[in-house]
Amino acid sequence: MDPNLSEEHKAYLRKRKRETRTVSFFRALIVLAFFAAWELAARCGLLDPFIFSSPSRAFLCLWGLLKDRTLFLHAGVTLAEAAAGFFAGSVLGGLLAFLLWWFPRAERVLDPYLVVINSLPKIALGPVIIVWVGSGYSSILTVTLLVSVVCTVIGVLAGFREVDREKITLLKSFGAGKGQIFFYAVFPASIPSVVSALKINVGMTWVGVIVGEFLVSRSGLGYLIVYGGQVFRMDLVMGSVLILSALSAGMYALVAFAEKKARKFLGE
Amino acid sequence: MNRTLSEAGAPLLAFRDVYLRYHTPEQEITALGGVSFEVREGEFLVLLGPSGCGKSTILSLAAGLLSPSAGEVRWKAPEKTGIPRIGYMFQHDGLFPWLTVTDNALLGPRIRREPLPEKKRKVEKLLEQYGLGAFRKSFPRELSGGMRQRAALIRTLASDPGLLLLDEPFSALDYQTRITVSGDIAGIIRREGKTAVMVTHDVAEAISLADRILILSERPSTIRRVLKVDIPERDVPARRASPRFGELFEIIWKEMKSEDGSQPLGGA
Repeated sequence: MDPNLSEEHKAYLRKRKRETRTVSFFRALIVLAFFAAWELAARCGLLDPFIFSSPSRAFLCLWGLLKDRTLFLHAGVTLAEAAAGFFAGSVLGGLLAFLLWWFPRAERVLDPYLVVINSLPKIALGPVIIVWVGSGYSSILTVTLLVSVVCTVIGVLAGFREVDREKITLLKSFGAGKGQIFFYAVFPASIPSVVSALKINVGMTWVGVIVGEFLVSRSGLGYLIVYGGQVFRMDLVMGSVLILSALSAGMYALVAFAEKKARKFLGE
Repeated sequence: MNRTLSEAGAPLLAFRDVYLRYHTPEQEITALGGVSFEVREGEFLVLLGPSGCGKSTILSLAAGLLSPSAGEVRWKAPEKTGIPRIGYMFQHDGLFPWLTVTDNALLGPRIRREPLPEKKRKVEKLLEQYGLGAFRKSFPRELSGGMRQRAALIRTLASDPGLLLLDEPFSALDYQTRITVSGDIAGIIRREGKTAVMVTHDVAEAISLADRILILSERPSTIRRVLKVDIPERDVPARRASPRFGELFEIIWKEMKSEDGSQPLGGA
């Protein structure tokens, strides 16, 4: 600690540190308790491990997959699909939001459709997508885009609309055109809220990818889950779900980190 | 109708019986109810009036961002554009937090695609001259409130404005800072020989800075009275110390209070 700090401030910092530690402790405790209870219940016969699996069996199964390297293949495929889906969804959603910002009348016309499409369970179209697009990666990507694009459009557009009127008036007084107003003010000013909208997109993307894999794929974590369910290997299902949680949490953390950076960049 | 004033010795800007009506589905709001005044070259004109009386509307008309519903706004300006180059300053400094002080100041030239090296030299000279030389590469968040307003003024000066429009530029600052910063900004505007129209609801601030004061009524706004500030001192503390300051304050206070329901903001 900095020796120049007053005793009072040192005490404050210590108290803060202790509080953070306590919170982290309870967070870890919840995870541990959950797995311990699950494991214990499986061993005492409260839960049938054949149906509910158990942490040790799930980890053992993952260890086996790790050793013959199939885990990397499946997790890699799913991660690549999710990354591609997230990227494509963000770009396409951003582009559509830009067009709606540029043409406010189009936005007014399309507004009810956006709202209705946003509330539709688009996953219901999954089986039709296979027929239309074919049973390959393109189907998975299509399902992902279907799920993620509309909510991205709505979130990003809200970010564009939030931009301070004074900044826009200022640029107009400099004689700026619409494109310049977007490039110099609207886009940079809305980066944090756009990134924040993309956080929602992360969750949507994973839903799309896994459902896509349920429907068509021959590899990936979604495939492992469906396969494991069909042959009653619950260890495989639970192990895949664990990996999936870790991957999506990692992706979310990455976007959240980007948002923090963006806010700092804008001096917020 | 907007026309260019071409006669020699004509005012820089003239409002002739200007009406402005806003329309909402529920009602028609007459913001301006026949406003006439002139802005002479090199003067510091203050529009003083209660909140919501349409002062900002007058500035938007003066900038050519709005057209009057009736009457006319005329400028003395180069034939090509018809409107003199406008420099806007707002309540919030309106600096772009993601740009350095220099890049903020170069926004106008960038938008007009002017040769940058030459403008950059001019901006750096202005920053040096007005005590921001060491902060050329700083971001706005690293500057104090007063320095930010000065940086915002230099940004408008970098565009060689023919007319400065100040929309309550000091009302976000605390009382102490406001007195110093307003004197500072008005001093720079006078030294650079610029014409300025400032909007405020603060009587003391109006007397401290103005050459002439136009007192506006509540909506629909008209000009109740034109006052020449006949205090020879330009420096704000000297002005405030002059016996005439109190007299003018009294006159304006009475004028504004005589109107039903409106209470001018005090502070001496």
